Amino acid sequence: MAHEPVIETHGLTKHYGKLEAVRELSLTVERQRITGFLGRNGAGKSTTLKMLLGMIRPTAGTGRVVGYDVADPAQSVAIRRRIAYVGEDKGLYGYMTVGELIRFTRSFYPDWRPAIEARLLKEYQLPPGRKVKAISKGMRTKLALLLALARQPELIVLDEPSEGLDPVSIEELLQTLREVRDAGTSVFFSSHQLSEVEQVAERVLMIDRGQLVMDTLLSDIRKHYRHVTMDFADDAPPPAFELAGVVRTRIVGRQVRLLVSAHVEDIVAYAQSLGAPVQVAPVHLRDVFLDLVKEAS
Amino acid sequence: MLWYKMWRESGVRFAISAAALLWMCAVAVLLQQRVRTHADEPISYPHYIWSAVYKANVLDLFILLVIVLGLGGVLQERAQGTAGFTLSLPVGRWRLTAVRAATGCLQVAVLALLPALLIPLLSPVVGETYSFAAALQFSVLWAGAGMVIFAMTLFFSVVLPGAYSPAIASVAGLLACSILADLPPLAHHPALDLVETMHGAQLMVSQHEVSLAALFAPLPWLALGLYALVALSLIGAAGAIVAGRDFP
Repeated sequence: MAHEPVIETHGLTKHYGKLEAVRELSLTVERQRITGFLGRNGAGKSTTLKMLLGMIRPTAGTGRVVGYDVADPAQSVAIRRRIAYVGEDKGLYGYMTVGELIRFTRSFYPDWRPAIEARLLKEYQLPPGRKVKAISKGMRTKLALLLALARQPELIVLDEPSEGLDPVSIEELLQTLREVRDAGTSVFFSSHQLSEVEQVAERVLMIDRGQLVMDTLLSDIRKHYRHVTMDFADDAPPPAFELAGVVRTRIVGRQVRLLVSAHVEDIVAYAQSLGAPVQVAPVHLRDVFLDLVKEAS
Repeated sequence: MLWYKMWRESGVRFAISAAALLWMCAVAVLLQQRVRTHADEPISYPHYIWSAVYKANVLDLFILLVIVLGLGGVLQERAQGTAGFTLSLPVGRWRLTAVRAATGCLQVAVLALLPALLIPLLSPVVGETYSFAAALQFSVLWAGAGMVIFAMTLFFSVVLPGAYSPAIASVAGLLACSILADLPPLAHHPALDLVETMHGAQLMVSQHEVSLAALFAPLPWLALGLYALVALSLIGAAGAIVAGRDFP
């Protein structure tokens, strides 16, 4: 089945005075996939997510979430009715008890699933009678997830969901995201934790300084991306590698290191024809991220 | 359930406000004999109630409590980290402001009514009587002017960051109203002075003749209408600002 888009943006831009938080961002998030949204702190991830949810108005460009225009206040309400959002700070009303907050949230969603609520309440071991301000950050994340998942949204958007969680809670969270996806919900989550993204994401969008620098399937990185390293012995400057499939070229002294996304054999053959020893190594998401982000720096 | 949220956010403040107001009214009634005995000249019980409750201490407390009730809102929620959750609910921002304003206005009206409920009930305990209708007239004045003060604080709460700056701005706004109302070109418009209107000095003249039938006649309806308009305008402006604002 083709994965139709659940989020689409075209030239989405946000300025804060002279600061360009997001620059002409055009991206697509596919339905029923887990899509990781990677970037350093301050890269523009949260601004993008908040524009998609109508919390921030775009300066320019367009965005559609589950078919609705993000810039239209009325359609933005429709978006929020059909999707779920778990914010970075998991800021829930501390003065309510867990049970009260569940009842409060439930009242906004006619499609609320009491069975899912009951199952997650038990599974997450959340105390219904305890004040939200009295539960741990891990518990608050679980509560935020319960509130998001108990209505089976079309899409769940999470901003740095693992922030402040212990390793066990992170593992549980990632497992939950897989289960959610299996149940038919699209997942779009931002993170700067590469290992988490690598564990669960199927597609990766990478943003740096407000611009999209990569959009690829994680399986493509594993299958096709390679580092091709060549060491040139003579004093002549290393040749340029403007070949199809070369994503980034890094030259350090006499060593040339290519990040290659396709046509590895052709590139290796070309490199060998130059008489330099060639090494080909598989890459991980971390390598790609560092290559792209360091380049920009 | 949005009402429930607004109520839960302000419920404790409202309960404390109501308790403080009732306590001050009760003290004013129960200490009436002592105060009136030591007064420079004899004053009637209704005049004592006016000067102790509707003109002085209790009124000042009421104004302060209304300002406290006006604090809060989405901008303040940002500081507490809950704005993201509130704004992710499938509710328009205009509705958020409207429900908050309506809840607050209702609370102001109830606070304004409390002296009218307590004073006539408690007066027989000290061997005096106080007309419920007369007390109700003051309540109408307090509610009308109180809603402007509430709306002003609500407006400042969406404009100014920080927990206390909206309260300080509201007090400054009230002082500015009083100073402006004293300026010669505006001296013929006493309605501009909110606090003076809340004193209800003109109601004291007809204190003994007040009956339920004549309840509404002596009230400054033009001023109250103007207050309603100003309060609605301030709430509308606050709603427009919240609707158009970014919440990064």
